[in-house]
Amino acid sequence: MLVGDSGVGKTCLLVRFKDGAFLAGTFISTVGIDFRNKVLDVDGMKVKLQIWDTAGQERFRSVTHAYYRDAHALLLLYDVTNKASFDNIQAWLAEIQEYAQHDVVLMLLGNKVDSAQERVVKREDGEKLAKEYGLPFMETSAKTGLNVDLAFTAIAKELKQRSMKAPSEPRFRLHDYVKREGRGASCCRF
Amino acid sequence: MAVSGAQARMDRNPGYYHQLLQGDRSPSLEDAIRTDLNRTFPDNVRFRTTAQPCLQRPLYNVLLAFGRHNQAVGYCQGMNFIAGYLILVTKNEEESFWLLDALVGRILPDYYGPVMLGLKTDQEVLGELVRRKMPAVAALMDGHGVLWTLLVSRWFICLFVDILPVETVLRIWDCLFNEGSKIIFRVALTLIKQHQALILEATSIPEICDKFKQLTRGSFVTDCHTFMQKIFSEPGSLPMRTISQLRERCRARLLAQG
Repeated sequence: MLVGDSGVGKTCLLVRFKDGAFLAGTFISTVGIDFRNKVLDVDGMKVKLQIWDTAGQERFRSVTHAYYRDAHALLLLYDVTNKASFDNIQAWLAEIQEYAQHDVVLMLLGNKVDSAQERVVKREDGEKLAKEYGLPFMETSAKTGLNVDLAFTAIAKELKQRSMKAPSEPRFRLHDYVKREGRGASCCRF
Repeated sequence: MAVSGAQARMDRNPGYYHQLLQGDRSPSLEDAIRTDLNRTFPDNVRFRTTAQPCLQRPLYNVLLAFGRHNQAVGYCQGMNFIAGYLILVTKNEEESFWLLDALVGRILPDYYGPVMLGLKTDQEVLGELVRRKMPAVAALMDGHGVLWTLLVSRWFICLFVDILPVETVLRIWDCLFNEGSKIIFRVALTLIKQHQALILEATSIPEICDKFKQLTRGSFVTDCHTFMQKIFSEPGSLPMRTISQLRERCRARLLAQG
């Protein structure tokens, strides 16, 4: 399930992941809750992700709360060009703590890193906040595709491991995986 | 304008709309509206920033004036699409404002307020009506634990904008202004009943979602004249008394759940 303030790019991130396209100026505000699915190949096994996209405006939280408890994973987004969306992360985390399962897979994403000029939230700020709450963290861009597939793949790997509980395989570590595979914004300029 | 009472209010309050626009700044309201300007009908040439004149400005004004006028509601996502249609149809900011006021302030029961109680209530009411009129569909929903909000929240919040074809939406709105919010249930029940067999093919939550997306497409909804006749015959009797009782019961249940 994708959560975060209005306009941080939840729908665009999802469409980038699902269709490999960026919705430049052709997308509409998400109202209520929307649903898409995608099948991923994770280490030779098909994992079907059901992804719920939500409206970010505060009043819609009373509608979307009902879905938190069934969510296996949450992607919490802020917009690196919008300080308020970063400041609200703590409120979102409180919300998640109240309504989601206590063992929900949670990842923090700072989106829109392609807008380097307008950036107001530093990468270190995101890292610091993530560390404070023990969350895996990445910066993403739905526009360039930076780290988008990686974020969903990491979630899929974690969920697959949890459902398999295969003791023979080495344990998948979401934090390490994200740290190792995640790319900085600077490496992906063409 | 006449049947909704919008014209009468506009005549009684000359200059009020413009006073609202010149009122004190309201930063959080302004930000919330601005976030959605580029995300309202981006496919419509008249809402593009390159259009002359670009309808984003009137849209912003109408939503800002409304947010200042009805501070309990302010701005709620979904109202952008409704105001956008009103502007396209009336080509007049002030009239659009008073029509939006008629819809949000009087015709629809608290769909857009901060806790959206009216919206949640009406979705439950729809669920109850489906249970009575199409028990097999209700059983499918219950079996998969699907909440109605997942399937129909946009129907209610956007009043079928971007869900059904434009002509059909405008015909529905005519009835909405004339007869009140009950018409939304008539449309929803007709869509579901007409496609009952299709819906019942679904065997999982994603499939149910897909079926509900399918039932708002096709010739059944594009032929708006026949569709409008259907909404008055297909769902059968739907007395206001029943709706009021169900609303009362569902609201009480929601409040008890907290």
